[in-house]
Amino acid sequence: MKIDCTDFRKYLDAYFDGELADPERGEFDAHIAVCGDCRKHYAQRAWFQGAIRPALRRSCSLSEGARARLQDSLVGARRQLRRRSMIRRLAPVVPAAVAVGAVFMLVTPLTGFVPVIDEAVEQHCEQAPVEVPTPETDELEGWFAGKLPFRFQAPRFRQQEGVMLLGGRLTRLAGPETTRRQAAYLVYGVGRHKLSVLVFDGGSLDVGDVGRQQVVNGRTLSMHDSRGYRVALFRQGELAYAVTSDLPEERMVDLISAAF
Amino acid sequence: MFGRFFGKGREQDDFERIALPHADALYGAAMRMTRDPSRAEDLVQETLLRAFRFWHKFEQGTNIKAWLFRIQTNIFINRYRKRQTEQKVMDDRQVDDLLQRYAVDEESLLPVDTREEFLRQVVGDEVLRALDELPFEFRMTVLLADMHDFSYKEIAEVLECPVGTVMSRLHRARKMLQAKLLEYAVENGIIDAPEGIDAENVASLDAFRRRRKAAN
Repeated sequence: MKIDCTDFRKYLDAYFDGELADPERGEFDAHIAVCGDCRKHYAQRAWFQGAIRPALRRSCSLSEGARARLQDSLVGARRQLRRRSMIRRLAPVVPAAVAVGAVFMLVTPLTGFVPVIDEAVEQHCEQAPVEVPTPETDELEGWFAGKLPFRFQAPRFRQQEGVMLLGGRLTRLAGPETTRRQAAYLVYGVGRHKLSVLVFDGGSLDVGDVGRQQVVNGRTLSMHDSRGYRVALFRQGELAYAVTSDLPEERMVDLISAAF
Repeated sequence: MFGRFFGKGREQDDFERIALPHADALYGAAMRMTRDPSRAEDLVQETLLRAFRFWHKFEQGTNIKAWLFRIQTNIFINRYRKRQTEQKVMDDRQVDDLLQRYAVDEESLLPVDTREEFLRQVVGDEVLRALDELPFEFRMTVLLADMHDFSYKEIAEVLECPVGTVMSRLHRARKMLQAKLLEYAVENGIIDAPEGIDAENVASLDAFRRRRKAAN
């Protein structure tokens, strides 16, 4: 069956995209040879495709920094995979009690931050006064210097985001670990909402595979809901940050991505 | 370069060998999705992390690139796209308007003698800018077909729509792209308006301002 002009123009994309079978292509070629109008369309289409494809295909490479962050994330993911695989292997071969104990011990590093999340919400809800009431981030950081076993950089929220620093205080985190961790507690006002940030030594805390995860500025955020609040947990080098608020999740992520 | 992190596990070795070489292609697509280098990097990282976690679900021998692009597209739609409202994208009315004015078909084939000039001046960034302004579904279809040589069936799998929808979107998207570039070329005086296009009736603030500036 010979192809007509209507079908030729209708399926010209499929012809150029290599979607037609050989006999169909043959019909198209034959039509091009005998129909001047369609030949113009064919030429225009060929020209346009040739013009835009090189621009669309300009090479685009991940930066070295992004590759390094990807490597780090994959290292964490691989470590978790190993832990889980070990748990799966151990479970059927050890007596039940031992297995329960082993699983508990192995799972603890993974789920260890669940108490951290509870703790973050607990502290967020507490009405304890700040020790350093200041709207200045530099002054706040200066106040914490020497009072903690680590140095940290407080988030720099943009003023136009409507975030106001209210102050900070020292606190401690009670986790499943035997040692209680010292931490910095920072509190902000975001309109009528409150946003708090806990900063502490991340230790072996791994945010890699629990909660709702998303990557922001190359950093994996682990998002959790607890008691009506949202907690975003992430690591920055040796330190861990727990950001708590009742703001919508997207707003929180936007604020975190701009400030850290 | 990722090799040292995947020393033993065969699955991880496979992931490194099969999936990671597509990181740059994913980034190229992510750039056109997010139109922001930093968000594009985050999107790629999240895509590959998720692919790694669900690597056991990938059926060896099937199209890895389509699988990765499907993951990336889903992440983008579910998360990033909601935050894109500030970005300029043509709405349905603007698309119809553009196609009505600059539809490059029977009525207005670009004259052969203007093509070289068009090609010389409307390349590279303008093409990408025009692509970026297409509505998401159309942009993705062109991107998968013309940047990455996906077949219609593969595009349908990535975008989770029928092949017929892919064909109509692709046809319409290319017309939009061509119309957009033609509009740019006419507005900037690179070429005269092809027959069938009444450039005087095209309301363009940019063109209006350029004319006023030139007059002063």
